[in-house]
Amino acid sequence: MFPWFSTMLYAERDDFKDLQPIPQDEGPSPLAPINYSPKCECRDPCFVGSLALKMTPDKDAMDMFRAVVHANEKSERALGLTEDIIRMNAGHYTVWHYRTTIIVELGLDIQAELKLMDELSTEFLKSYQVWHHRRLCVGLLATSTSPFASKDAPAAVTIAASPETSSPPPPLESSKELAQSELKFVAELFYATDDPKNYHTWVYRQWILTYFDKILQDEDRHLEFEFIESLIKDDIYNNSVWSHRFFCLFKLGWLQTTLEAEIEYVLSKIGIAPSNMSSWNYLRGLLKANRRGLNDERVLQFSETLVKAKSASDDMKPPVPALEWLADAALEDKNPIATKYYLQLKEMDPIRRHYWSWKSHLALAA
Amino acid sequence: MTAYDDGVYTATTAAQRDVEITLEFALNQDKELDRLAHAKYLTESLRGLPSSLKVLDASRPWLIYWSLHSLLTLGISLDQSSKARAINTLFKCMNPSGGFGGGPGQISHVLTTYASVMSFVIAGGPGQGNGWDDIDRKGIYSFLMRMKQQDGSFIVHEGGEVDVRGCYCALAVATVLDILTPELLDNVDTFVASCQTYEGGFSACNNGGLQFGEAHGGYTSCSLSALTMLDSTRSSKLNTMFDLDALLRWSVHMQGLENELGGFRGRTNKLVDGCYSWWLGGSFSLFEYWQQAHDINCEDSEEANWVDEESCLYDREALQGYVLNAAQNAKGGLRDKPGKNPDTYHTAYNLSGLSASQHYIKYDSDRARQLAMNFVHNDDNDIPTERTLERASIRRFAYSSAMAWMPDKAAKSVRGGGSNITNPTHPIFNITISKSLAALKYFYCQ
Repeated sequence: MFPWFSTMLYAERDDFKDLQPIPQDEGPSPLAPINYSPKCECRDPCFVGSLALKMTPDKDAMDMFRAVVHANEKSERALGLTEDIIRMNAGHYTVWHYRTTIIVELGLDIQAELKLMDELSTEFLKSYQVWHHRRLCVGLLATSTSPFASKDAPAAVTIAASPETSSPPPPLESSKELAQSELKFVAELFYATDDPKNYHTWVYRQWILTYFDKILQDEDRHLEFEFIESLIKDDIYNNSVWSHRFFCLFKLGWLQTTLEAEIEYVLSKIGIAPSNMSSWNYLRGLLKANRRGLNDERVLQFSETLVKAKSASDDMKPPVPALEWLADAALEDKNPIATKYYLQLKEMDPIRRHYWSWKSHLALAA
Repeated sequence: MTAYDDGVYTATTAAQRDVEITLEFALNQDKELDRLAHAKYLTESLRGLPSSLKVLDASRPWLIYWSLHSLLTLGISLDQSSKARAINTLFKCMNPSGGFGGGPGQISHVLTTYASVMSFVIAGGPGQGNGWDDIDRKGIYSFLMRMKQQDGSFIVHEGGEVDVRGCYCALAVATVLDILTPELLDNVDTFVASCQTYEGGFSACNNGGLQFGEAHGGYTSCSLSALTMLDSTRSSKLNTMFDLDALLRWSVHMQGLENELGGFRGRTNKLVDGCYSWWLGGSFSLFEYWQQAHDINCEDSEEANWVDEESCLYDREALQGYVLNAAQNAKGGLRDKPGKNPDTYHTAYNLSGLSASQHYIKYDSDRARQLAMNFVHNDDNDIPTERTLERASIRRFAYSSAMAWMPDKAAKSVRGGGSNITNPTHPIFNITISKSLAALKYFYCQ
């Protein structure tokens, strides 16, 4: 699996013997030092996958890394060393950056790199670096003449990974398949890791959709909405999905629906879970994005019905967001009834009493 | 009352229920701030970290910042030897081409540059060997300018990613060190403002104005602090660039219910976590600044005065309860929530949040005006800029505004009484106010 992988220390390895490891210059009595071990406790390749997080950036590999950087060596063995360190500490941004420059300078197989990222993104889901590196890879692949570049056809790597730019040039027409496979990968990852709220993953997905927007087609967009719908069905409270729906509709401008239909859609979801702040916030955003105020007749009626229905039963309180909608809408209209609503909210939701009380003052003054 | 009573059961409601059960035991407690235990925990981390924390190898300045800042917030001053060790270790992370890396020999990173500079403010001082004289301001400026992108964002390191943490850290460092220039500030306002989401909070980043990610407490804190710093350097106010009401509403809604002990969550429908005590709890001081700007545009009305009798929009007392009763670990250190291990990150942001909810940190605009009037123009022109006149004005207002954040001595709300009191922390830099003032005076030569 890892051809360079060895249980031997880098300092003792034949293939590195021409380099003199450089120890870290900490100075005398450093503060908050990391207690490096000369060798990792678990170097058995069988355990690498499952124990990687617990493994440590051992002194040995880092000492050799400094030697490699010092010699400015860009080579396959240096690439192997960076992977070894990254597996021990995915937050080592200096090592990631060096890895990128090796790949770019040697014109290495980006497709293989992306495959490695499949594994590492799963393992280090919350690492900023792993997702950024993946972006760089995709940018390189999408702008090379052979999108699924293999070793025989090194990617064109002239501008894309230039360290000073955060976004690569536009993707080639032919990279649609790449876009689709990335979307598929991310979708599967949500399930595989059981973490459909992972921030990095969502930001990455939105970058993919933005970057490939021009070459994606209606069917891809349709698939995206199906994906969104399935996640909302799984967990109606998943705010990341609501946020993503908003992104597709109003940021990318994939309007597959009318405002009226979208309002209906959200109201139907609120009907299922009236306390769900995600859908209420979405509804606010929806109206605002369309330059509409809160005084939408249907939403008002809907909220009133909710408030009345819940108030009628003894042990149920009206959902705070419904009452809040009525209050804010009234305030927007300078309708004095707003004060009454805010005072009711103050009773119902005492943690936010100062806020409701402030709003009631605003309503009085309006 | 629980967060969800819709009769719908999903992964979100299950996770929420678990947390509510976990927090039950802490509900009616009245723990004291265990200064001694936390001090012990922090000094031990400074001595060296166990092998399980080696993932923080690229975050050394952060470890130092979190620990030092926590100690000072607790009111524990550092001994000379720890200060000297902090300064030496930080200088080992400084790069000749400017900025600080995550450890010796690592390339410079905007975030670790922030952590390093703030640690210098805490542990250092003027005079030989005390650090402040030897910080390479010009180098840091040139590093920040290399990271600056056309759209106003900053990549966090050479070849690295973009998000609003970079904007915040770059501006905080530049404000403290007096290296703000118009070139550094160009377009940052647009970039940050474009990260506001439909929910009101801010997200991680945007790409050509297309905002990525959902509203998040950490990114919101970075964005609002960045906008506040930007606003103070200019004459035309930024309050029309973002929706303050929506931001306020969202922030207020992030505070958990009574059975969540009034802790803050970082995103809609996620779980409360002690670190948001600062990221969100700490942001409320800044709202007042913006509300003042807003009121100038509105008809002034006594009733509409934004502060009510208790002078705040969130439940300070409840938040303090979360920090004291849920976030304190018995053996020292503070944590996300019961059942999680403490770490220095959560220790720092729980304590900062505790401090922010005990003190009323006000933006004293009279003081700002006074300081701006008395500002001594003494620029030694060592920071390269084409727009010297603009820089002169930026310096003056950045200085006077940063100096204007003062704790209202008469108003405090300390849960559990005086023995729980912490030191007031600066709402933008998150270092104690007394240290902030000393450093600002030094770097601006005032």
